[in-house]
Amino acid sequence: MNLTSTEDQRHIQAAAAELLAARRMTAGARAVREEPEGHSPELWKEMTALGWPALVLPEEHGGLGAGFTDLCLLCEELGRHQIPSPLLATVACAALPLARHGSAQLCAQWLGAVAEGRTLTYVRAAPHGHWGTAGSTLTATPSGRGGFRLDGTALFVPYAGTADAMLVMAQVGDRTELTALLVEAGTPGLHRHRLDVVGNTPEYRVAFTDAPVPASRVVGTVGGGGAVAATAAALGTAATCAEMVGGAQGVLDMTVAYATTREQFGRPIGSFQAVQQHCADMAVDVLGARVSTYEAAWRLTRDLPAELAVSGAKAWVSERYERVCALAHQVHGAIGFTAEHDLPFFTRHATAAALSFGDADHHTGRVAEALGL
Amino acid sequence: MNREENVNREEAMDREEAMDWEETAQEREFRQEVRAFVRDRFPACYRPDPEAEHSLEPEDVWGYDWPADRRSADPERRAAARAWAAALAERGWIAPHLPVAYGGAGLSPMREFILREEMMRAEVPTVNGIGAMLLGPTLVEYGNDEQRAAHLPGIARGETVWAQGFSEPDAGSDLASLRTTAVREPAEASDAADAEVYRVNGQKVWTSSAQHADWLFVLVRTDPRAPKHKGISFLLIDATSPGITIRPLRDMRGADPFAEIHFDDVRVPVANRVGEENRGWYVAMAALGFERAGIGATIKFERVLERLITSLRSAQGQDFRRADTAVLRHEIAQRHIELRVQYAMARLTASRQTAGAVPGYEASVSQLLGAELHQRLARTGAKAFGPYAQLWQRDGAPMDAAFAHMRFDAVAATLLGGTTEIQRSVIATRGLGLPRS
Ligand SMILES: Cc1cc2nc3c(=O)[nH]c(=O)nc-3n(C[C@H](O)[C@H](O)[C@H](O)COP(=O)(O)OP(=O)(O)OC[C@H]3O[C@@H](n4cnc5c(N)ncnc54)[C@H](O)[C@@H]3O)c2cc1C
Repeated sequence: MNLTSTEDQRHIQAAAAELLAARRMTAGARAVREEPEGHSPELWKEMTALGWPALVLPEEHGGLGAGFTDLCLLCEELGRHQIPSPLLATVACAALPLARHGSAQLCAQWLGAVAEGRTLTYVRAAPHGHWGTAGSTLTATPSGRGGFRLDGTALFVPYAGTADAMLVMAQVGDRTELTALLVEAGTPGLHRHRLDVVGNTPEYRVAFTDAPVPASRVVGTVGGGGAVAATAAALGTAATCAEMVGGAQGVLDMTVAYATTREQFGRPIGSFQAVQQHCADMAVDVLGARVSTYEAAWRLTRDLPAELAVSGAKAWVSERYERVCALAHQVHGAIGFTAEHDLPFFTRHATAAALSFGDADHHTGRVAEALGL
Repeated sequence: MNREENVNREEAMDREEAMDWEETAQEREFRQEVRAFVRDRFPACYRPDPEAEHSLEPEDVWGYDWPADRRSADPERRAAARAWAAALAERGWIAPHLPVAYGGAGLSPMREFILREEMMRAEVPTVNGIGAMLLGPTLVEYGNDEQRAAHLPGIARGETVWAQGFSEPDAGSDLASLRTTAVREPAEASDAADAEVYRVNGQKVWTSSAQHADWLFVLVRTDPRAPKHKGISFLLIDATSPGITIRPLRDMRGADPFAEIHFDDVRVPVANRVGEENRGWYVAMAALGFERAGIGATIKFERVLERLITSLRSAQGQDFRRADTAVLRHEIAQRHIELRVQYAMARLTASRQTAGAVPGYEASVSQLLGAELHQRLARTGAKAFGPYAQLWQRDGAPMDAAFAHMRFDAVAATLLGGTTEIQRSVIATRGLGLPRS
């Protein structure tokens, strides 16, 4: 067992940190907030040139064949610098599930395209917005020759506005089993509407009205989409945790730096014990978030049973990242409450990311179930 | 293959294995070896004492207090404790990190982690962790050859029990304000040739296991005029020296885990000073820095949580279980998640130490998290049984009243080894680099 990172991993992370720090002014959450894409397409081109979307895809489809943990390291850096990017949705939530469950033809068509910079997203609309329950508010009605007509509305689809295709979880007729479909952006009857949300990720309402989907776009089997959804949820949850770990670390670093320089009563506020105790609690939260996320990512990389690890990580990370932000606000005082400050972007991220793929209560409940309680 | 190639190959293997939570084949093999050893060598007659309060040392398991058992009034228990120590000593596993030359096994932090984990899982006692884990590494680092040769083998064989005399009635968190004095005086005619001595006077308190100890390591003031951190020395004192009185102290549970020590003109050879005179504070801080990766407590908590879940699902447990369980269920899952994090942190700490990485503040974080988790776990477990949680008697109580007792054990968790307030300050200043107050 060796939990230090490899030379390659350190290299990946350092190179990513360097690039993202340099692009923060033009591609950070503040800079792209008003942009129609919700992220910087220029930076995405740069990332593509550096092989980020290709990193963990299989080599036979133009990928670099690295382990899932390496993708998480990139997500961590994106979180640390608060750079919105379609990387997580594209690779963790769609391309990797496609690689695992999709037909040879779909993989050949889409994975190479992703490696070259096309983006994907994931559409999961369980009834009443519940996390992790069966069923979908999207219905696929068989329409001859194995194809479908898709109807219904899904909320909170990240980067749907620019995605070239979407991995959609639908139910066929009244059957609650899911069927996974890869729906291309140009499909007639597909409408995308940007939502105004708390977080920094552009989220959309996606509506389908009698949208035709050919039989060849089924990922896995008809009625077998549950497995695809499970893969997307597990990888998406772990990668989201990694992004949150980066965010939490960014907040801790920024808070320690501030507490060291801001003076009151003639001395740095970081020398006051109450402030030190807040910072120490943040350090506990961040380190715990990191180790649990890395363990979950490693289990997924190795294809080991991971439900407990993933849910445990998401529960801890969701709760603790929000606490880290709350403590950071306390230490920053009024300056952290201002629109000019970067801390609010992290707070927005923490609030929204905690809700993506299930909040702390949801995952704690899953752990309770797994423990047989 | 020459040595250099060997090193390169090892490095290449390291690279493949990095960020890898899976144990190597050798680590798994070692784990098996420890399991087999415990199975074959732990004396069957050495059984947990069902009436005992839990020892408060982090690496002690319930039902055992080895330093006390070694001198138990019951001759069978005495013999069993000694037989267990002798078996461990054969492998060098009492002080496993010590060099083989001193009776240790020269184990890496990762191997030591595995050894401790397996001993905790098997619920067998540790032999005087204070000597093996605190003093041992301190002597390796700061002792001289004579001191190492004189004391390390006794620690490694379980022949000498040590206690740590740092705290005083007026020096707790502010340890450096300690007042026990040591005054150097010329050798008396009756003393051996050049045996200069210190004359020690004062009082120590809360000294764990002092009433069972053969030797004490003690902080004393050798220069009352110097700034408080710069007038302290670190002495090794024979607990049977004339002038020492050790009186056990009763705790809120009714047990005697610690004692107070009075020093009344106790003569201690100057040769028993570790490190330079007036530099003892720094030696002591290093000793406290040999923090345990926290694996002991983690495994104990994990096991008790498992037992709680099993009990709640058993017929007997159903009789005791509270009727409204929605919050309880959630809390148990939270404790499980926290324990997972705690275990991962302990592994990270050991793995980083083994890889020779610069130690971060993982160990302090782990200790702080563990102490507070102990209290939360005790509350959750007690809550599970509604009104039955007030049964202190073991008989007829759910889980033999384990959680009623644990709530009291856990009161000490956030105090001993430095309070959690002090731990947080250490993380903030030494870990995060914030300015000292
Ligand atoms: C079971 C047990 C075993 C022990 N074993 C040993 C042993 O073997 N050897 C040994 O030497 N000692 C031992 N101790 C003593 C232990 O190290 C002390 O209890 C501890 O350091 C705290 O000192 P105190 O009890 O005097 O509390 P105090 O220092 O008086 O603290 C009281 C309260 O004030 C707070 N406080 C004090 N200073 C500050 C500050 N600067 N900032 C914020 N808050 C502060 C503390 O956090 C605490 O909440 C043991 C204690 C226990 C409970």
